[in-house]
Amino acid sequence: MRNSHADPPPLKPDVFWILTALAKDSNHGYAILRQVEALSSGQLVLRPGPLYRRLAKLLQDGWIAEHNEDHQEPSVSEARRRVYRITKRGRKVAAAEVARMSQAVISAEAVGLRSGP
Amino acid sequence: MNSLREVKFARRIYQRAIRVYPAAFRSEFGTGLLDTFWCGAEHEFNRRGSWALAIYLVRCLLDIVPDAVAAHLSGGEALAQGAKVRSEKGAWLRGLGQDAWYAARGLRRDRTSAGVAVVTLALGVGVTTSLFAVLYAVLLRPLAYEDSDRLVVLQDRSLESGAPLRTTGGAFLDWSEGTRSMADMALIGGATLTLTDPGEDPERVQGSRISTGYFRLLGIHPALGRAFNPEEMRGSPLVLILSDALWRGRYGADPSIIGLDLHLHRACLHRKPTNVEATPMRGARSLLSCDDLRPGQARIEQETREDNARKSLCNIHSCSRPG
Repeated sequence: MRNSHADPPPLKPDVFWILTALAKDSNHGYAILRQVEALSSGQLVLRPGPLYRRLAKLLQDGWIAEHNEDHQEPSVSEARRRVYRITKRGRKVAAAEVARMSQAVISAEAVGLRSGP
Repeated sequence: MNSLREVKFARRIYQRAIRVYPAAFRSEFGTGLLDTFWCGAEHEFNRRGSWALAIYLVRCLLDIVPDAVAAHLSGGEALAQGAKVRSEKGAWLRGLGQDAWYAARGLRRDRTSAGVAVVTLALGVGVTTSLFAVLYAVLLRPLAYEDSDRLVVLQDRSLESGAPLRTTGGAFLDWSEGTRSMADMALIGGATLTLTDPGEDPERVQGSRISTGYFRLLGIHPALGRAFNPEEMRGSPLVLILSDALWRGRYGADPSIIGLDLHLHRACLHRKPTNVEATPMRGARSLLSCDDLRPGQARIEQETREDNARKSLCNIHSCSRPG
């Protein structure tokens, strides 16, 4: 049950990991794929199609935005790449999801459920 | 077949396969899809060879089918458009911020250029404001009368040269009776008069002779007293309406002036001093085309007698019918 009316709904795993992958640095599509795979310890492997459909939705919701990296002087091959960054709203949503998961871990451990043997 | 060719081949297949996505989605994200596929395919091929590349391609193709269906169902056009709008909006704001920051740094570094820019800007704003003020006063500001957009000035013109002619009072009477396109019509003509009140210095003023319906046509009313009535068109006593400026300047804004006799000498018609009623008329300066007024001068409006109207030279103001 949600704590209050203002709480965002739980995030789908791919949304959470994409936001997490962009939390530290802005990145282009392929780098986001690699980052998601690394951060989720290989549990989530995204491919181009699902990634870009999700990116389109996140752009539409305003959780991520395109980032113009003028200061980095990209190479010719990189110049056409679109780089995405997390927005304040996206960061807030991801933080709320982290808080929700932390609370879930605390509650589960309180009733004797623990990770590992 | 070297690695680049195999990856290119896989990319060509993938490029054809993504045509199943909505067109707007493809237009917005097609390049990113292909670029990301290329990087992934190259990575797989370099790591584990052709079989890994083939498996990667098959997995990507299998992803496309449900993904494209979902994109169509969720409104691919709207999805891509929404993303595009947000993206463009963000880029515009970031560009504006960068421009502002760059300009501020430049102005701070070069004080002379900053001063010149500020002075130029101030001059530009000043000139533009002055120009607009003049344009507004001359062209844009509506006249201070009711239904001013329906007011017209009728005037005779020479058939030969097209030059404007002074319109006669007779024409006014003919047009008043003969026209159906005008809701109302009134006449105004200039007059120079001299006020010769006993014990006061004579004062020469510019006045006008107008027909009874003039104030009705313009929708204005005396601040004190009354306007002319139809009976006064035909006979004595001669009645005056004073302009607000004359009332304040010569008579000290005295409200008891209504009904008093004023001594008037009409210089242009060589009349003897005449006793008249007076009514202060607020805003009469603007009423009677104050273009030719000079500071310190004032006006008197005097009714035109009907019998004189046929002989007088005058302008005719009229009001068109609605619609």
